[in-house]
Amino acid sequence: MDEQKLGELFRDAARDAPPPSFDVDGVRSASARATARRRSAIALGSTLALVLVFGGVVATSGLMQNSTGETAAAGSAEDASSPNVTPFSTAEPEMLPKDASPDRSGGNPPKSIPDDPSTQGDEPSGSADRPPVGSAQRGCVEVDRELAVALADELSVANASQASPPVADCPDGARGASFLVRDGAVYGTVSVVVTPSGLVPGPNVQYKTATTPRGEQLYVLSQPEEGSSVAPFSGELASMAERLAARS
Amino acid sequence: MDQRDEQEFAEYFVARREAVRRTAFLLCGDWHRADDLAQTAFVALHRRWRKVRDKQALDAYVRRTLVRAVIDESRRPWRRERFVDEVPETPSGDGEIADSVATREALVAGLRRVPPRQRAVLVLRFLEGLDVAAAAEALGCSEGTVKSQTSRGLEALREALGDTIEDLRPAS
Repeated sequence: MDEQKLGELFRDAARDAPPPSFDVDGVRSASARATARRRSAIALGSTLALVLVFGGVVATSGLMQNSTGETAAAGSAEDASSPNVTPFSTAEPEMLPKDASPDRSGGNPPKSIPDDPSTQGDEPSGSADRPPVGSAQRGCVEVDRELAVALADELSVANASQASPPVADCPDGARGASFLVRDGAVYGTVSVVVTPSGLVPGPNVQYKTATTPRGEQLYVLSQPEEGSSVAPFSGELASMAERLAARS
Repeated sequence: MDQRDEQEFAEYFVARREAVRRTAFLLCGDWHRADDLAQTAFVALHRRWRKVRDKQALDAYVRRTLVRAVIDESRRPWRRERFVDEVPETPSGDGEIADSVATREALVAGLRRVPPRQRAVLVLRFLEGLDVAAAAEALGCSEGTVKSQTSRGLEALREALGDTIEDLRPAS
């Protein structure tokens, strides 16, 4: 194939060109429009980038101001002589349980141990100088801590501080505690009462007694919930009474 | 651009407009699209006129811009070229003029059936008269690619034209 002839064919094919539809002025104006579009796009992109950067700076400074304000507020509550103490150190003692032992608090035992507030209208508690447990001075209207802890062990109750006064018609000089318990599907209240004299249990209450080493009578009473006739732990009351009496 | 640059551009535009339009026509097969493509190439050149230091390389820049515009346009879905089985009808008539017109239209129609990149190689080599190295520079590819694309392009053109043009018959 002759490349020269092929070239002639190509040139001949493009020979009869119609008049051009554009001139140099059209090219110039199209060039100016394209340049203007390009500049607009660059300006728009720059503005968008500036807005983003400015927004980021404002957001960052706002966050920093918030954190600085919180730190200053926490720091102002601290003792001025101990600026290095973290803000949480002042709140730490309040997080300790109320019945924390002296070993856990790391200091001497406090003189006043707050007790659970009583709703029975008796005298305020919390005095370390109160009479020893077991003096039966206050009767059955107050929770006896020692009996509450012992009963909580027997009933596998996690928090002995949830104890309530015993559900019984206590004579003078009696002391006791009770827990609201669940024995499988059976709900009710199990109480323990230690009394120097006798006790008359109410109706629908199952109970067992045992004698303490001091010669007092210990009653373990199980009262079903209202509307039910089945008392919780009714089969274990005797053994429970024996063990509690031995601990009293 | 200052007045002097504008004057230089106008002179170059006047000198090269028809050649660029013809190249664009053989690349796309349509004079209206050829004008659009040629104007696109000149607008690109006008925007970069001050940056083009080597005025001898203007032709190469315009060619490269033109070929890229044609190939890019052929890839757009709404302008994508479709191949047809039948070559468009050639004008009937007797005499030398009728044969010449038929040959031209057959060549343009056959070129439209050649893939865009191979068509660009053929146009640059046989219309513009570029050698392999210059065509490779205009297309941004290697010389070996230009040679292989030339061979394949001619083969595709022969298949499209059949025996319409004797000069495209392979040498035996």
